[in-house]
Amino acid sequence: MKSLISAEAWNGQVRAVRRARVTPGQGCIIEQTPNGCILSGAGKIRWRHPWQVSAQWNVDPTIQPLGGQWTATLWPGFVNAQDVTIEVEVASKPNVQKQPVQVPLTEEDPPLLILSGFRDPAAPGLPQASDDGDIIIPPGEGYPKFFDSLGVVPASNGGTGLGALDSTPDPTRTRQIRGCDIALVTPRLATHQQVDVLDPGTDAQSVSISTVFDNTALINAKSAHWLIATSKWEPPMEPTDLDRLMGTAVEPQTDEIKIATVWLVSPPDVGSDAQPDETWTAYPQHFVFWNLNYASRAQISAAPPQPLKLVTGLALGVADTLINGLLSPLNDANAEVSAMLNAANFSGRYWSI
Amino acid sequence: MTELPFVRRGQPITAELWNKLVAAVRSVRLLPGDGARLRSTPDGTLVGFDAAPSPWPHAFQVTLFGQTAAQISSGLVNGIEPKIGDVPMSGTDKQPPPRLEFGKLKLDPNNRGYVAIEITCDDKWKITTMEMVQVAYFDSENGEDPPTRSGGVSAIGGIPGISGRRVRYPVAMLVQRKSGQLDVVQIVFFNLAHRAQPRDNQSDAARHFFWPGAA
Repeated sequence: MKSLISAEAWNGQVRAVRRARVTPGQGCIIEQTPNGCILSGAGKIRWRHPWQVSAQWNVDPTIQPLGGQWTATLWPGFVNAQDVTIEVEVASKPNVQKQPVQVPLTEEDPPLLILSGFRDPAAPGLPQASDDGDIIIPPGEGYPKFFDSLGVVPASNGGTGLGALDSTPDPTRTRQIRGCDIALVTPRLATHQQVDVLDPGTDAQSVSISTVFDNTALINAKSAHWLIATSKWEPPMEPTDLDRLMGTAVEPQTDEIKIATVWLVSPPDVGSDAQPDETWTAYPQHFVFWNLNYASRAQISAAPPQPLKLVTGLALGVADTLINGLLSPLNDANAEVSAMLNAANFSGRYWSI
Repeated sequence: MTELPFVRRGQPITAELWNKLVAAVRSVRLLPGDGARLRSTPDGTLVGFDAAPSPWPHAFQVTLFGQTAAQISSGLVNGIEPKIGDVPMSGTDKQPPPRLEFGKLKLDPNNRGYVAIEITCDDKWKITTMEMVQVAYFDSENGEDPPTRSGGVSAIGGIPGISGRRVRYPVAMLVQRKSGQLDVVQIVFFNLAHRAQPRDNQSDAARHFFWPGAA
């Protein structure tokens, strides 16, 4: 009996056949024959450097609508000779809710880092309004030049007016690109400044700037150093000298460094709103190639200066209040400058080892 | 695997033929076995096998001899070569490069240990002696028991020193797998420079800094 084969069914089989074609990778030798492909393991493979990223598509029918997700494994890297971890969800027993667990990169079954958020580096930035009321479209972030030769859509040039959101398509460049950053996070001791309001009449000062130590990140840290995946990594904001002068400095409680960016490139003629699936190809770009050491400046702040006072006892003490009031602005200025120059600094640095 | 017949022009594709095709496609799917890694792409599957990485000779390279000893390639810290016993790691005119004999392997509860350089400094924090050791914890006093106060998450980084103006810096981690196999994961690849930042002028406690190169 004749059966109609739908195009969808046919193409599904074609895709399955194409995926099953073997390409030799690390440590693999192949020999194609009409009856199949002979796979053999080679004796040696290329040296893998610390933090080397391998991205792969994991099939998971429970994840819809894509039917899977992109994950990454990393060759072990160390910070201060300590293991670095990735948080994974693990169920200790069957039918028990999964709990987050920190798994070291040196584990026999290396942990998978889920690449859950992607950015589009070709897309224009968010529209902004200028002081004159013009709409400014920032240009796209861009991507490494390597991808130009693969036929990836060019990054948006941006411009003024909403018309800048549209761009003339290039028929030879129709592949979409997405990026996901992998960063290393290290919790650390941090400080924030505290402003106490005083009575200028009695204290000869209206504000005092002191330093408070923050260790909640250290207390709650589940490992000394861990890796995260994020659509676009931004370094933690350190306070500026102006912040310290104003007494509003708040240090971040983590130090971070970008390890790699995983770029995903689509097949040709994919819509600009497509999400990376199994048909896309991953290209890791590394920024760190060696193990790291880390240290914080651990610069402790000096105590706030004692305010200058003049105790005369004149006019039965009333003059002292007036004198303190007059001295208050001087003492406040001294306190602010002292807070800036002698501020605590626990920002950390990584370096290759 | 079911042999797929070829069809003639005009021959109808019956349900039986189609199902044979589906079965054949399913049977040639690639599945990773022991030591095999697969990466599926639209144009084929990249197949890789776990194999020993190409040897790359470098400083402080650790090569195991069973689970009781290791050969460590020569390396320098501040231009000085560590010793094993009283013999420099590169050997002497009369003695070959020595092996580090572990005896009983020292591992922590996570089956991890270290091959480390144990450095002793003088009162000016200059290096006086360096010895290669195998320990379970590089930041505890005896290296076999967990550290009492430090260890775990460190508040200010650096390598914590231990008493007697000493510090241990791991050159490789040893990991014992469930199968019993002992693996080496290299940490240091280059000669090192070292500086200590003492807590104060009297204390023998310090945090230590290491970086690649000469002092």
